[in-house]
Amino acid sequence: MNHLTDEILNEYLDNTLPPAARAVAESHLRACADCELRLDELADVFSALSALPELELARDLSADVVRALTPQPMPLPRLLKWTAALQAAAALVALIASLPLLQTLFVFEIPAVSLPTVPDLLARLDQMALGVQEFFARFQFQAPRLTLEFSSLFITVAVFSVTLLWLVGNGLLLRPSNQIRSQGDLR
Amino acid sequence: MEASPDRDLILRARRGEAEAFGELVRAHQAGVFNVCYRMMGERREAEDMAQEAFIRAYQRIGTFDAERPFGPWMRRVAANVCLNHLAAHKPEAAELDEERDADSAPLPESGREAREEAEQVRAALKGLPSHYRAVVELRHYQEMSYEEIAAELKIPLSDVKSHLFRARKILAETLSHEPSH
Ligand SMILES: [Zn+2]
Repeated sequence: MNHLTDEILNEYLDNTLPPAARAVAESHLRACADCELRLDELADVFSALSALPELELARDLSADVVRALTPQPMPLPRLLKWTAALQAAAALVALIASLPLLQTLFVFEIPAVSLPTVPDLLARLDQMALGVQEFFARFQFQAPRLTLEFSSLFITVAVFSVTLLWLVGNGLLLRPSNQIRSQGDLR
Repeated sequence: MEASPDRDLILRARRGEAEAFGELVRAHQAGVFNVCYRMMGERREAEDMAQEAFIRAYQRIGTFDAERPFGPWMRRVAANVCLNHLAAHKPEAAELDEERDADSAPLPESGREAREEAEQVRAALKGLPSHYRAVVELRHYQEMSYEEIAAELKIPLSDVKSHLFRARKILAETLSHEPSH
């Protein structure tokens, strides 16, 4: 007689055989010790799998999951705070250092130290109102000329450092905050 | 019909409340971790994969019907995440075998035999090709039908059967060769 196939035995244990096929299988199993032994061996696998105990989770995963799901505003690292203060200071220094340079851009003298008074400002506004052409006509542009002990190297270094600090500072600030990590698409 | 106990949490999570989702994680993490442990065969990796599975689930929670039970869906997602991970990172099985691992937490003497048996089953599972392991996981531990497994893994029904039956054959051979006592 024909023995039961592996497929029949598997489906028998999975309870997926149609009733008629199941009845045939059962009558064969009653008559055939070989097939019954094969069924027992297969059934052992089922019971070994279902006897596998559940393990305890050693740590709570929820905090990590929630953290990964919440877009975090990055707290400013201490170093970065210092960088910001340093940037401001450096910018101020550079500004002051560049004032004489600014002055030499123009032929006429800007009263660099004394703050303009209100009537002074008004007068200037008045002059500006004379018209753009007239306004520009008052100036002659010339190459920067340094009269103080600031060398152009000093200015260059100052401007360069400020730029560098700015780039570093903002580069860190604008670093993408932790994105939700993920790998591969769910199929 | 009885509402799913997780329904409110799911709806809140869908509105973007990560904390509500955290509640769901706490309620289901043990089951999900066990899915991952059976798939990965190693505790640390199983934890990572469980975490990953929850994150993936959160991303797709908009498509989940809140009236359905969350646990079974979550465990399916976990099996899938593990399978994808295993498929993407082909085996380094041999080395990992050595460190199978710290679940030798002290058990009472009477539990030792059971623990050894469990270790054998886990080792046998781990010896299976990952796609066989996934089918075994879904059939034996998540009690899905052949058809559901085919739909879940997007493989033909005939593949579900052949993978499952071959996996069982391999398991039968592996387990019968192990000196079980
Ligand atoms: Zn027979």
